[in-house]
Parts: sequence; C-alpha cells; structure tokens
Amino acid sequence: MQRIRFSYRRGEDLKYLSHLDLLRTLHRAFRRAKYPLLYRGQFNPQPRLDPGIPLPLGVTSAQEYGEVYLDQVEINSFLPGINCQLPRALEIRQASLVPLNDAALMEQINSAHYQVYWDEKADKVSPSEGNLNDALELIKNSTEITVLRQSKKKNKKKKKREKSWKAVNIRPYLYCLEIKPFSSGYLLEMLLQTGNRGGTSPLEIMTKIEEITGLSELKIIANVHRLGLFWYDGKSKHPPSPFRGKINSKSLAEK
Amino acid sequence: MDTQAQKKYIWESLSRVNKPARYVGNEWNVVKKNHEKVDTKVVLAFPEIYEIGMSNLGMRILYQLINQREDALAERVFCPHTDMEKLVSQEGIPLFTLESFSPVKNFPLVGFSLQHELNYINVITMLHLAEIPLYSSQRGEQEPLVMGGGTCVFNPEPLAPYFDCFVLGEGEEVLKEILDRYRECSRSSLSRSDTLLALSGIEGVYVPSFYRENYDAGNKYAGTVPVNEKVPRTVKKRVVKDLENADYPLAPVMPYLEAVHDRAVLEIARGCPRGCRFCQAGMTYRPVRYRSPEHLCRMAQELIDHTGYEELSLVSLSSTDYPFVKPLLEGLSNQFSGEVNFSLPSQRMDAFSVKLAEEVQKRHRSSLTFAPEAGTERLRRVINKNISYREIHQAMEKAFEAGWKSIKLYFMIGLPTETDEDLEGIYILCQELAKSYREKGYSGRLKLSVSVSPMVPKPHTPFQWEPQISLEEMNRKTSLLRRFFSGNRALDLKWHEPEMSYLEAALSRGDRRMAPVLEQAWLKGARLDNWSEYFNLDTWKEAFASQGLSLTDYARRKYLHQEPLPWSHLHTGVKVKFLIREHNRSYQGETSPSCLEDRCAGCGHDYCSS
Repeated sequence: MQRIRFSYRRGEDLKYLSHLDLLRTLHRAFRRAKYPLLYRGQFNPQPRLDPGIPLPLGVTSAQEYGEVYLDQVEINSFLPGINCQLPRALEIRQASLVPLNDAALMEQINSAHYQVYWDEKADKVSPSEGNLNDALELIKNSTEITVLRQSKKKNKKKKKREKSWKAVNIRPYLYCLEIKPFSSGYLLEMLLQTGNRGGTSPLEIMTKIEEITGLSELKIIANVHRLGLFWYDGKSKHPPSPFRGKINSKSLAEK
Repeated sequence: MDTQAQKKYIWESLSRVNKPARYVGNEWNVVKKNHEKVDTKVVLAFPEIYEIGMSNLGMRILYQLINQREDALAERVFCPHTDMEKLVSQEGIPLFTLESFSPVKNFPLVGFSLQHELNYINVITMLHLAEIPLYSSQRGEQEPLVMGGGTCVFNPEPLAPYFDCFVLGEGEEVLKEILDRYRECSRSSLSRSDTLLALSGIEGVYVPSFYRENYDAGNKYAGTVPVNEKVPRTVKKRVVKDLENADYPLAPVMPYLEAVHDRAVLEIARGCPRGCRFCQAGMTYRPVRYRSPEHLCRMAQELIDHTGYEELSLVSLSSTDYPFVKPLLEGLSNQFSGEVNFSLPSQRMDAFSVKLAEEVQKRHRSSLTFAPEAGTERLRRVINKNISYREIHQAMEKAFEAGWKSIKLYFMIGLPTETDEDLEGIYILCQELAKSYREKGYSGRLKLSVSVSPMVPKPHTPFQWEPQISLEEMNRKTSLLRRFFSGNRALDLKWHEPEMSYLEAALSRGDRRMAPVLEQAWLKGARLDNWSEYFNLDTWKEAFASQGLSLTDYARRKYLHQEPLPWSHLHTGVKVKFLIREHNRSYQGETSPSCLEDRCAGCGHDYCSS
C-alpha cells in the first residue's frame, strides 16, 4: 500500500465544481489512468482518495493538497499518467510518497491564503480604494466581527434537519488582511484560519465589507483565488509535508 | 458587448445561481470544434434540466454521430432552471450552448429531443430564451430550422406550429441524410420553404406546415391531409436495420454534477418482444433487434476505458429477454474481474430474472424492481402482461432467499375493465409476499415499496382509443389503495401525482388546435411541469379554457376504431388492424404471444423477418 500526497491547481474552468463533483472527477481520472485504487467499505466501497480542504464554490486555486492510497505504482511516472486523464483546468503539479503514519493533511493545515480582486466586469462598478481602506481599518481595529451562519441541526424528536441561524465571531480567524496595488487597480490579500478548529471564508469577509461600505454586489463581481494552504505559527507560513520549502505558488500577478 | 465580453459576463454571472456546474460545459469527453471550419452547425436541445438530459441515450448517440463528421458540429443546451431563467432574462443573455457559449439562435439547425409530454412547456421556455420566433410561420430566412425527434413525435401535433420539421423513428441513419441534404440546400442557397420541401423527401421527415388538419361541421377532428402535392400522404418512421453496426457513443460526455444515471450505459437490444397493450415504446420500437455479446464486450471495454465509470448498465426495454444474456454476463465478468459492477434494468418478474440479478449484483445488492402492472391475473391478461401468480411468487421467493430486503413493485391504475377487486388484488398480492417473507423467518426487515401511477392512453398502442379515467376516479382509487395499505408497516405505498398524468394524457393525444394552449400556459407561468413542486394543473385548465378548449375532453376522449386520429398520418410500422385486434382481445381477456414464441401476434411490421 502506498500513500501519495499531491499538490494540484484548479483553474477558472472548474471553479464552479463542488467538493463532491471534484472527488468524482478525480476518482474517475484515477480509474481511467488504471491506477490501482484502494477502497474502503464493504457494502458501498469508496476510494481512499481525498481532495483535501474544500474550496468554496466560484474560487480558483494555485495550490491545493490531496491524498490517494494506491496498491503499487511507479511514483516517477505518476504525474504524466494522471494528468493526461484530467481536464486542463485540473493539474496535479507535485506528488510524493508519504509514510503511512504521517499526520493527516487536516492536522498540517490551519490557514488559507486568498487574493481577491475586482476587474471591469460589464458595467458593474468596482469599489474604490478609499472605500476599501476604510472598511479594512474598521475590521482590523475591531475585537469582534459577527456573522450569521446557517446551520442544519438534527432534531431528534421530529427526525428532521432544521435550519437555524447562529452568530459567530470571526475576528479571531482573521490573521492578516491587506490591500495591495495590482494591475490597474488593487487587490485584497487575506490569511484566514481554516479547518476543524473553526475558520472563516473570503465570502464572509466580503459580506462584512459590503455591510460597512454599503456596496451591495462586491461578492458577486469579485475574483477570488486561493494562493495556498499552510500551517501558520503566528510568524511564518509552512506548507504541509513533504512540500515544505518547495512551494512556489503562482499569485494572481503572475497568472 | 462583444462576444468575448459576453462570454465572460455569462461566466461570472453563474456565481449567482444554484448548481452552476449545470451551465459550465467543459466536461470530460466534450467535443469542441472550430466554428469556422465546419459547414453545418447543430444545437442538440434537451427540454429538461441538465442532470436529467445528460442521462438521455438518444442525445448522446446524436452528439457523437454529428461530431464524428468533419463537416458538422453539435453543441448541447438544456432547459435552464427557474433561477437561471430569471437571471438570463433579466440580463438579456440569449440562451447559449455549453460547448462554446454561443447563442443558440446563431446555429442553422436546432434539434429538440422530445421524450415526455410534460417537457413541452420547456420547449417554449427555451425558444423564448433563445430569442427564436416561437412559431415556425414567424421565422425568417436567417432563423434556425427547429427540428424535433424522440418518442413524442409519434403524435407531435400539439407542438406542430412551433416546429419546422419532425423526424420519426431512430436517428442513426436519417440524421446523416438530413445533414447531407441540408448541406446541399444551403450550398445552392435554397429558401427556407424549399429546404423544408427538400427535407420532406427523406423518409421519416415530417414537415407539419405542408399538412392541414380538417375538422367537420361539429368541429370534430376529421383527418390530416397534405397541402403540398410533393409531400407524402403518410410519413413512416425510420428503423435502423443493422443495430450491430450502428454508431454508438463509446466516449460519452461525463457530467461533473451527479446525473440521474451516473454510470456507463450499453444498449444491448432495441425493441421489446412482449407487446403489453398500454406500452408505447413496446409498439414504436419494433422490430426487436439485438447486438452480439462479442461486440458488446468490445464496446464495454472501450466505454469503460474512456470514462472510468465503476458501473455499467446493460439497457434495453426488456433485458431478461435478451437471448444471449448468459454469455454476455460471463464475458463481461471475465473481462473486468470485479473492477466494474453491472446492472440489468427492466427485468421480467420471474425466477430466471432473479437468478440473473443475483449473478449481476454480486457486491452491491441494493434493491430489486419489478413491474407486475396489475393486481390480478385477469387484469394482467387484459393488458397482455403475461406473468402468472405463480411466477410472481417464485420470483419473490428466490429474491428473499438470495438476500434482497428492499423490493420495488410498479402498478398502474385506471386500466380498461379495472374494478375495485383488481385494486384490492394489488394489496392482497403485496400482503401475501410480505407474509411469506415473515413466515420463512428471513432475518432483517423487508421493505416492499409499491408505486402506482394512472394509465396514460398513448398514441399507436392498442389502448390509444381508450379514455383516461377521470381525475375524481383517480383520486378515489388512490385513496382506496391507501386505505388497504394503511395497516401494513412492511408495505410502503407511493403514488404518482394524478393531475400530472391527466395533463400527460391530454397532451399525448392532442391535435393541432391545442398548440396555442402551450403558449398560453407558459404566459400564465407554467414551467418545468415534470417537477411536482412547479406543476400546477389550474394554470393549464385556464390555458385550455382561454382557447375555448377543455383539458378534460382531450384526456377523457374515447375514440371509435373507424374515426381518424390526430396521428393517423404518422406510421410506426405496426398495422392499425393489429392494434384494433389487440384492443378487442383485451376486452375478451385474451392474451397474445410475444415475438419470442413460435406463434406470431401479427403486428405486420414492415421490417420484421417473420
């Protein structure tokens, strides 16, 4: 049994795929490549394949991480074999064997780095720099930023899932928020906590900016790009093993 | 906006709709061709949402057939869901294809796949969003030719004024002829009506504007006749004689979204030998043809290599009747040795079928589905569904023994000569099966789900003359069944919305006068009728009334054998004499043999060898 960890890029063409769609796409690509997938479960066996930390719908990414368990495969020919079975917008860029007892991806990743920018999209108005600066200052100087999240809770009595709203303070999940010049305009860089200890998404941050600035369609007309996933220790960002020190994500400026 | 900017704008707007993956294209095995380099550009339009349409085999066949030609290309479009419809109409984005995001109206040929009457409303939605004039008579020289194919074209009259032509029967051969003829016409710059006339010379092509419906003094339908002396009096469906060598899509486009049938599909046979008297497919797909198991094994390999699907469905109208089913299954399981699961849908309810199912579903023994259709042996004889009480019990015994705990049974209500005893028969049968499961002491709880749906009398079947039962009668029968089933926890009764079947009956046997009703219903807000959350019969009743027509009259109409029918000028190959004989035999409770027996029921099909 081999455990292979890989990094991949997800381009514009596939940004509207859900996490499950992506899993299905990868699964069938591995089958077409005739790689010996290992399965879990007796009644309805599922491949031991994990596309990693889910990417929000509509977001592109330079650097995602996934894992797959295979029976036996020549690691040197792994990349060309799988990439010729994948759509162009989904490209596996690096792959290496990791020890079976290596810590799970979820335990090696606690933050995601996003870039958000606005371009001229068919007569929609982009936010002005002044607008954004004010909003950013307000957010950074707050100790509490509350957003409402919808959750579906199981009601045991009625055996139904019920929708309810819950207020969450996302300020602790916001590590870094900056505005930078980009092309003819500017972009927002965000480092946000992610994972099972709580987190937030660029969409929530933008909802907050919309509320503060009074601009209503910021989310809809924004381009959002995930630059990478890291372990952030308060000072610097570390990619998961075995990719430490090897990562060179293309930012939007180079795209 | 220029085209590039428009494409980008559409693309970014997708973040505002549910399941945007329905509209993105770019799937695995998609074919994208340079528009500058081909002569004939076709849109294949499916009037249902993406997840449903992508599972349609006919659409896949045509897609590959057209795209394999160097001089042609085919792109797809599906009916947008209501949120997308709202978005594109607000933003003024004309309906676009998935392959190139080009406006549908820029293609010279637009072919709709008409598989179900309750999709008709979506044709109106799509024509409207495509900005193509709704009626054929309003279309100019630059506008696309709107064509229709599929099972509904055996009575397309309610849609006739919206379409420029219909193609009857199987598309594999006739489509090639249409593309060739169309190419010649456009090269010699023929006018729209001359092109249609040229196309009407191809067997299977029906141009409704060259025909007129007559009505008698009492405003009763009195036959359809040509108004152009060059077109044939009757149009005959096309049949692929050599199924073995017919084109088949072995690298189908794979949706990213989970489609309703998320698996590889291999058509092992076409046509059904059984001759159930209510079944339209059973009549219109005659004669029965098979592919050889050797060829199917080769096709299966290619299909799996190109897709990576983990399940292969071996489809036909009656898979148990495929004569080479044993060697086929043996060949396939040797070939794939556990890498691929197989399924055999549409099985006959007998012990042999269960044995096959046992061999097929080795790992994944989920549920078994059968369609006894009627609750008593008497009524099964009436509809020519020839399975006996004993066969049903033996099949179920075998299924219980093999470990199936979830079984689905399909029944119909409103069949000719049906009485309340027949309905009680449904309950008695199910309850006996549940009882025998209990008494044999099998472990685990049995789940028997029973689905009932009202019969829809369909054109070109022995029941085409029959009225549908009234809505009140459907509701009475359903509640009677619910009363029978209410006490038994092992039995789970589900029923098909009677109101939907009612509209289906009206649309499937309608004439050309009904056409404006569709536009009216659309204007009154009818959308996606096949989805019970959108369906509203009142909207349709109002639309009928606005044209001085009655939905009830169409659904409940009983025709006489000697009367002309709105579809009498369209031929399936089965003789009307045969349908009349079958209709009469049904009332005498007499069964007719299937094509598998030595005796022949005598449908008189032109292409049948016997």
